[in-house]
Amino acid sequence: MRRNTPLLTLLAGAALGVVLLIASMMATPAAQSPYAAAGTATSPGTTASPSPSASPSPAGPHSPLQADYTGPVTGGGATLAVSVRGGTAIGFVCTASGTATWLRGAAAAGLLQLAGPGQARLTGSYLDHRATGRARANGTQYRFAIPRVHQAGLHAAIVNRTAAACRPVDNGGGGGGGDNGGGHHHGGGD
Amino acid sequence: MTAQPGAEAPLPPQSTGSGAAKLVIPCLIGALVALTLGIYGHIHQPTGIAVNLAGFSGPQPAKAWLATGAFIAAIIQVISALVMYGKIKIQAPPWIGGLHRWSGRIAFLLAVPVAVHCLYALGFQTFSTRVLIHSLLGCAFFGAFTVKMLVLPKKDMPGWLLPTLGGLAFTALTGVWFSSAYWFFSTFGIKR
Repeated sequence: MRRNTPLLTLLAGAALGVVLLIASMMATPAAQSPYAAAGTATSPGTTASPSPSASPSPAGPHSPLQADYTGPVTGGGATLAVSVRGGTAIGFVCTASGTATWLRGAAAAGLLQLAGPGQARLTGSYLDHRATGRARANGTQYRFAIPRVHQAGLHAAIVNRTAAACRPVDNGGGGGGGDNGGGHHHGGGD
Repeated sequence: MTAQPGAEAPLPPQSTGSGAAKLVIPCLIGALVALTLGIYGHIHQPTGIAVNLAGFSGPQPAKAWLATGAFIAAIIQVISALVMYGKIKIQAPPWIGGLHRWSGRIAFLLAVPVAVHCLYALGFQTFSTRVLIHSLLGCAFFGAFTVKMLVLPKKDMPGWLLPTLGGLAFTALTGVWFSSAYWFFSTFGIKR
């Protein structure tokens, strides 16, 4: 070998990275995949980004950068809340008896990944009007499809782990993971 | 050292730099790589989307599997290096150098798409200890790997240098894997 192969390795990796980066930039406005469109440009207060991703996303599944979701789990028995702020998501699972399990994790690409004490976890996806997925807390599995809400103080209540945020549920939650994303919870303006 | 094929590349004599400069410049470049990745990941508004691989249910499992492939290749790196340095008392097969080179290339090239997705779609994040460690080690890995690649062809380097750099890169990659792919699989289950 007369060539500087380690340097070639580095350059090949850098070239691959650049190609993938350009491909990602081209893929971003296209919004083809279900994980598409984190919507960087539509969030109020977002400063201009140096990348092409600042171009507005077209219509389609849209995951807001900042949103709160809460509601009963499917089948009832617990209330769940998720608050997304940028790449961070926090939330709780609140059982009917008022036991709160606080969760923290990531929100990216329309996907939620939260975890909490006692192997509690929440995984799912979120869009403009609702969040859906599965959660586990205190050894119980839940499914959820909860609407987006505009409750002032919900995010702060989760941050501060306010006990009053965890209220017993009387709503059965309906059957199936249907779209209960409308209803009175959903205010306008987003 | 002699088993490092890259070290056999006949480069022009380094007449311009002292022995220290030979090491300082690769280290500075490696530091620059790590810093560039971290700063880019920090200032670039995460898009949440990047090119995705076919055959996976989403970007997270794709990344976890790619990272696992890189980690396995990195383990092959360590074992083959131990054989080459005579630390594992077996007769070194003639292909051990090739195995070491190619496992390293594969580990690096598998890690690149993961890093691109991390930096472009998710960014440098600090919202939990795991994520902070992952962000720091991810940048550090590419810095350490760059230094090792730049030092590899140079002659008259101390014998401990390449094992140290390789060990740093492997340690960083191990931390990156445990703080992401292992976490992913243990949190969500082993799935595609």
